Amino acid sequence: MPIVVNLDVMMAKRKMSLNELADKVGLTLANLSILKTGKAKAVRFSTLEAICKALDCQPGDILEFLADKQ
Amino acid sequence: MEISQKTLDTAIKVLTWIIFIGLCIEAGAILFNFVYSAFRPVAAHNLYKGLDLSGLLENDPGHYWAIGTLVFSVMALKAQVFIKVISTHQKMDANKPFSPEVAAGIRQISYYALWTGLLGLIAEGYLDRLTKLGLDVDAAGTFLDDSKAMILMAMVVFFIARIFQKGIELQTENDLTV
Repeated sequence: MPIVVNLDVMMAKRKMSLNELADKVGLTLANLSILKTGKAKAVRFSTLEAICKALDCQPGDILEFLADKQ
Repeated sequence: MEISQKTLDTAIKVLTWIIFIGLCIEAGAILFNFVYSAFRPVAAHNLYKGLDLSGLLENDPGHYWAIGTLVFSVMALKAQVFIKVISTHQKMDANKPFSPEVAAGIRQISYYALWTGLLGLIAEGYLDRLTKLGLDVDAAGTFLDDSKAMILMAMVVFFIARIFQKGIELQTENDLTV
Protein backbone atom coordinates (compact mmCIF):
# COMPACT_ATOMS: atom_id res chain seq x y z
CA MET A 1 0.00 0.00 0.00
CA PRO A 2 1.47 3.41 -0.93
CA ILE A 3 0.54 5.03 2.42
CA VAL A 4 2.97 3.89 5.09
CA VAL A 5 2.19 4.34 8.79
CA ASN A 6 5.28 5.18 10.84
CA LEU A 7 3.58 4.93 14.20
CA ASP A 8 6.28 2.78 15.78
CA VAL A 9 8.94 5.41 14.88
CA MET A 10 7.01 8.17 16.69
CA MET A 11 6.20 5.89 19.60
CA ALA A 12 9.91 5.09 20.01
CA LYS A 13 10.78 8.81 19.87
CA ARG A 14 8.22 9.60 22.56
CA LYS A 15 9.10 6.43 24.46
CA MET A 16 5.48 5.36 24.53
CA SER A 17 4.20 1.79 24.49
CA LEU A 18 1.29 0.60 22.39
CA ASN A 19 -0.82 0.09 25.53
CA GLU A 20 -0.19 3.65 26.72
CA LEU A 21 -1.01 5.09 23.32
CA ALA A 22 -4.18 3.00 23.07
CA ASP A 23 -5.33 4.34 26.47
CA LYS A 24 -4.58 7.95 25.53
CA VAL A 25 -6.17 7.75 22.10
CA GLY A 26 -9.21 5.75 23.21
CA LEU A 27 -8.71 2.92 20.73
CA THR A 28 -8.52 -0.76 21.51
CA LEU A 29 -5.14 -2.44 21.29
CA ALA A 30 -6.41 -4.52 18.39
CA ASN A 31 -7.39 -1.45 16.34
CA LEU A 32 -4.12 0.31 17.08
CA SER A 33 -2.24 -2.83 16.02
CA ILE A 34 -4.18 -2.81 12.76
CA LEU A 35 -2.96 0.74 12.18
CA LYS A 36 0.60 0.06 13.29
CA THR A 37 1.01 -3.02 11.10
CA GLY A 38 -0.28 -1.22 8.01
CA LYS A 39 -3.44 -3.33 7.67
CA ALA A 40 -5.82 -0.41 8.10
CA LYS A 41 -7.85 0.59 5.06
CA ALA A 42 -8.80 4.02 6.40
CA VAL A 43 -8.17 6.35 9.33
CA ARG A 44 -10.75 8.72 10.76
CA PHE A 45 -9.66 12.31 11.25
CA SER A 46 -10.74 12.05 14.88
CA THR A 47 -8.34 9.13 15.38
CA LEU A 48 -5.52 10.95 13.59
CA GLU A 49 -6.16 14.01 15.76
CA ALA A 50 -6.06 11.93 18.95
CA ILE A 51 -2.83 10.20 17.92
CA CYS A 52 -1.14 13.50 17.00
CA LYS A 53 -2.18 14.98 20.36
CA ALA A 54 -0.93 11.93 22.27
CA LEU A 55 2.41 11.82 20.41
CA ASP A 56 2.74 15.59 20.04
CA CYS A 57 3.43 15.39 16.32
CA GLN A 58 2.05 16.23 12.90
CA PRO A 59 0.08 13.84 10.65
CA GLY A 60 3.02 13.88 8.24
CA ASP A 61 5.22 12.44 11.00
CA ILE A 62 3.03 9.37 11.15
CA LEU A 63 1.85 9.01 7.55
CA GLU A 64 4.15 8.77 4.57
CA PHE A 65 3.43 8.29 0.88
CA LEU A 66 5.65 5.91 -1.04
CA ALA A 67 4.81 5.52 -4.73
CA ASP A 68 4.36 1.88 -5.85
CA LYS A 69 7.49 0.56 -7.59
CA GLN A 70 6.65 -0.46 -11.16
CA MET B 1 -47.59 -4.93 21.08
CA GLU B 2 -43.90 -4.69 20.25
CA ILE B 3 -42.16 -7.92 19.39
CA SER B 4 -38.50 -8.10 20.32
CA GLN B 5 -35.89 -9.15 17.74
CA LYS B 6 -35.06 -12.21 19.83
CA THR B 7 -38.70 -13.35 19.88
CA LEU B 8 -38.94 -12.83 16.13
CA ASP B 9 -35.72 -14.79 15.57
CA THR B 10 -37.00 -17.67 17.70
CA ALA B 11 -40.37 -17.65 15.93
CA ILE B 12 -38.67 -17.77 12.51
CA LYS B 13 -36.39 -20.57 13.66
CA VAL B 14 -39.32 -22.64 14.97
CA LEU B 15 -41.38 -22.00 11.84
CA THR B 16 -38.60 -23.02 9.46
CA TRP B 17 -37.95 -26.18 11.47
CA ILE B 18 -41.66 -27.07 11.39
CA ILE B 19 -41.81 -26.51 7.62
CA PHE B 20 -38.59 -28.50 7.09
CA ILE B 21 -39.84 -31.44 9.15
CA GLY B 22 -43.18 -31.32 7.32
CA LEU B 23 -41.42 -31.38 3.94
CA CYS B 24 -39.21 -34.28 5.06
CA ILE B 25 -42.28 -36.23 6.15
CA GLU B 26 -43.99 -35.53 2.82
CA ALA B 27 -40.94 -36.48 0.78
CA GLY B 28 -40.34 -39.57 2.90
CA ALA B 29 -43.95 -40.69 2.64
CA ILE B 30 -43.98 -40.25 -1.15
CA LEU B 31 -40.67 -42.12 -1.50
CA PHE B 32 -41.75 -44.96 0.75
CA ASN B 33 -45.11 -45.40 -0.95
CA PHE B 34 -43.63 -45.31 -4.45
CA VAL B 35 -41.03 -47.92 -3.52
CA TYR B 36 -43.65 -49.99 -1.69
CA SER B 37 -45.92 -49.90 -4.73
CA ALA B 38 -43.18 -51.79 -6.61
CA PHE B 39 -43.87 -54.76 -4.35
CA ARG B 40 -47.55 -54.07 -3.61
CA PRO B 41 -49.17 -52.23 -6.57
CA VAL B 42 -52.27 -51.63 -4.42
CA ALA B 43 -50.25 -48.89 -2.66
CA ALA B 44 -50.48 -46.83 -5.87
CA HIS B 45 -54.15 -46.15 -5.03
CA ASN B 46 -53.16 -43.80 -2.24
CA LEU B 47 -49.54 -42.67 -2.54
CA TYR B 48 -49.94 -39.58 -0.40
CA LYS B 49 -52.96 -37.46 0.51
CA GLY B 50 -55.19 -39.50 -1.78
CA LEU B 51 -52.92 -39.38 -4.85
CA ASP B 52 -54.05 -42.28 -7.03
CA LEU B 53 -51.68 -43.27 -9.85
CA SER B 54 -52.75 -46.92 -10.02
CA GLY B 55 -54.13 -46.42 -13.53
CA LEU B 56 -50.80 -45.00 -14.71
CA LEU B 57 -48.88 -47.84 -13.05
CA GLU B 58 -51.06 -50.34 -14.88
CA ASN B 59 -50.91 -48.62 -18.29
CA ASP B 60 -47.35 -47.32 -18.34
CA PRO B 61 -44.99 -48.11 -15.42
CA GLY B 62 -42.21 -46.08 -17.05
CA HIS B 63 -44.20 -42.84 -16.77
CA TYR B 64 -45.31 -43.84 -13.27
CA TRP B 65 -41.71 -44.15 -12.03
CA ALA B 66 -40.70 -40.98 -13.87
CA ILE B 67 -43.46 -39.01 -12.13
CA GLY B 68 -42.52 -40.58 -8.80
CA THR B 69 -38.89 -39.58 -9.26
CA LEU B 70 -39.78 -36.03 -10.31
CA VAL B 71 -42.27 -35.44 -7.49
CA PHE B 72 -39.90 -36.89 -4.87
CA SER B 73 -36.96 -34.86 -6.24
CA VAL B 74 -38.92 -31.61 -6.12
CA MET B 75 -40.03 -32.27 -2.55
CA ALA B 76 -36.52 -33.27 -1.48
CA LEU B 77 -35.11 -30.09 -3.03
CA LYS B 78 -37.71 -28.01 -1.18
CA ALA B 79 -36.59 -29.63 2.08
CA GLN B 80 -33.00 -28.86 1.08
CA VAL B 81 -33.89 -25.19 0.60
CA PHE B 82 -35.30 -25.03 4.11
CA ILE B 83 -32.39 -26.83 5.77
CA LYS B 84 -30.09 -24.33 4.04
CA VAL B 85 -32.22 -21.50 5.45
CA ILE B 86 -31.89 -23.03 8.93
CA SER B 87 -28.14 -23.58 8.69
CA THR B 88 -27.53 -20.07 7.28
CA HIS B 89 -29.62 -18.53 10.03
CA GLN B 90 -27.55 -20.42 12.63
CA LYS B 91 -24.32 -19.01 11.20
CA MET B 92 -25.59 -15.45 11.38
CA ASP B 93 -24.11 -13.19 14.05
CA ALA B 94 -26.36 -10.22 14.79
CA ASN B 95 -23.34 -8.01 15.60
CA LYS B 96 -21.53 -8.79 12.34
CA PRO B 97 -24.15 -10.19 9.96
CA PHE B 98 -22.13 -9.74 6.76
CA SER B 99 -19.89 -12.79 6.79
CA PRO B 100 -18.66 -14.91 3.85
CA GLU B 101 -20.34 -18.02 5.34
CA VAL B 102 -23.75 -16.35 5.44
CA ALA B 103 -23.23 -14.92 1.93
CA ALA B 104 -22.38 -18.42 0.66
CA GLY B 105 -25.45 -19.81 2.44
CA ILE B 106 -27.74 -17.23 0.84
CA ARG B 107 -26.25 -17.97 -2.61
CA GLN B 108 -26.86 -21.68 -2.09
CA ILE B 109 -30.47 -21.01 -1.04
CA SER B 110 -31.03 -19.19 -4.32
CA TYR B 111 -29.42 -22.04 -6.34
CA TYR B 112 -31.50 -24.74 -4.62
CA ALA B 113 -34.68 -22.67 -5.02
CA LEU B 114 -33.89 -22.16 -8.71
CA TRP B 115 -33.30 -25.89 -9.28
CA THR B 116 -36.50 -26.71 -7.38
CA GLY B 117 -38.48 -24.31 -9.55
CA LEU B 118 -36.93 -25.48 -12.81
CA LEU B 119 -37.42 -29.15 -11.98
CA GLY B 120 -40.99 -28.39 -10.95
CA LEU B 121 -41.64 -26.66 -14.29
CA ILE B 122 -40.17 -29.62 -16.18
CA ALA B 123 -42.35 -31.98 -14.14
CA GLU B 124 -45.44 -29.83 -14.80
CA GLY B 125 -44.74 -29.90 -18.52
CA TYR B 126 -44.28 -33.65 -18.38
CA LEU B 127 -47.60 -34.10 -16.56
CA ASP B 128 -49.35 -31.89 -19.14
CA ARG B 129 -47.92 -34.06 -21.93
CA LEU B 130 -49.11 -37.24 -20.18
CA THR B 131 -52.59 -35.75 -19.72
CA LYS B 132 -52.72 -34.91 -23.46
CA LEU B 133 -51.75 -38.51 -24.21
CA GLY B 134 -54.82 -39.54 -22.27
CA LEU B 135 -52.99 -40.96 -19.27
CA ASP B 136 -54.44 -40.46 -15.80
CA VAL B 137 -52.06 -38.47 -13.61
CA ASP B 138 -54.68 -37.66 -10.98
CA ALA B 139 -53.62 -34.77 -8.75
CA ALA B 140 -49.85 -35.22 -9.08
CA GLY B 141 -49.65 -31.61 -10.29
CA THR B 142 -50.70 -30.30 -6.86
CA PHE B 143 -47.25 -31.22 -5.54
CA LEU B 144 -45.66 -28.99 -8.17
CA ASP B 145 -47.94 -25.95 -7.95
CA ASP B 146 -45.38 -23.53 -6.56
CA SER B 147 -42.61 -23.93 -9.17
CA LYS B 148 -42.96 -20.38 -10.50
CA ALA B 149 -43.01 -19.04 -6.93
CA MET B 150 -39.75 -20.92 -6.22
CA ILE B 151 -38.12 -19.38 -9.30
CA LEU B 152 -39.29 -15.93 -8.20
CA MET B 153 -37.90 -16.61 -4.72
CA ALA B 154 -34.61 -17.76 -6.27
CA MET B 155 -34.29 -14.50 -8.21
CA VAL B 156 -35.10 -12.34 -5.18
CA VAL B 157 -32.67 -14.29 -2.97
CA PHE B 158 -30.00 -13.98 -5.68
CA PHE B 159 -30.38 -10.18 -5.64
CA ILE B 160 -30.18 -10.26 -1.84
CA ALA B 161 -26.98 -12.35 -2.11
CA ARG B 162 -25.43 -9.68 -4.34
CA ILE B 163 -26.39 -6.93 -1.91
CA PHE B 164 -24.99 -9.08 0.91
CA GLN B 165 -21.69 -9.42 -0.93
CA LYS B 166 -21.47 -5.63 -1.10
CA GLY B 167 -22.35 -5.52 2.59
CA ILE B 168 -19.38 -7.80 3.33
CA GLU B 169 -17.05 -5.46 1.46
CA LEU B 170 -18.40 -2.45 3.37
CA GLN B 171 -18.21 -4.28 6.70
CA THR B 172 -14.62 -5.40 6.05
CA GLU B 173 -13.66 -1.86 5.16
CA ASN B 174 -15.39 -0.61 8.30
CA ASP B 175 -13.60 -3.22 10.41
CA LEU B 176 -10.28 -1.99 9.03
CA THR B 177 -11.11 1.67 9.62
CA VAL B 178 -9.57 3.00 12.83
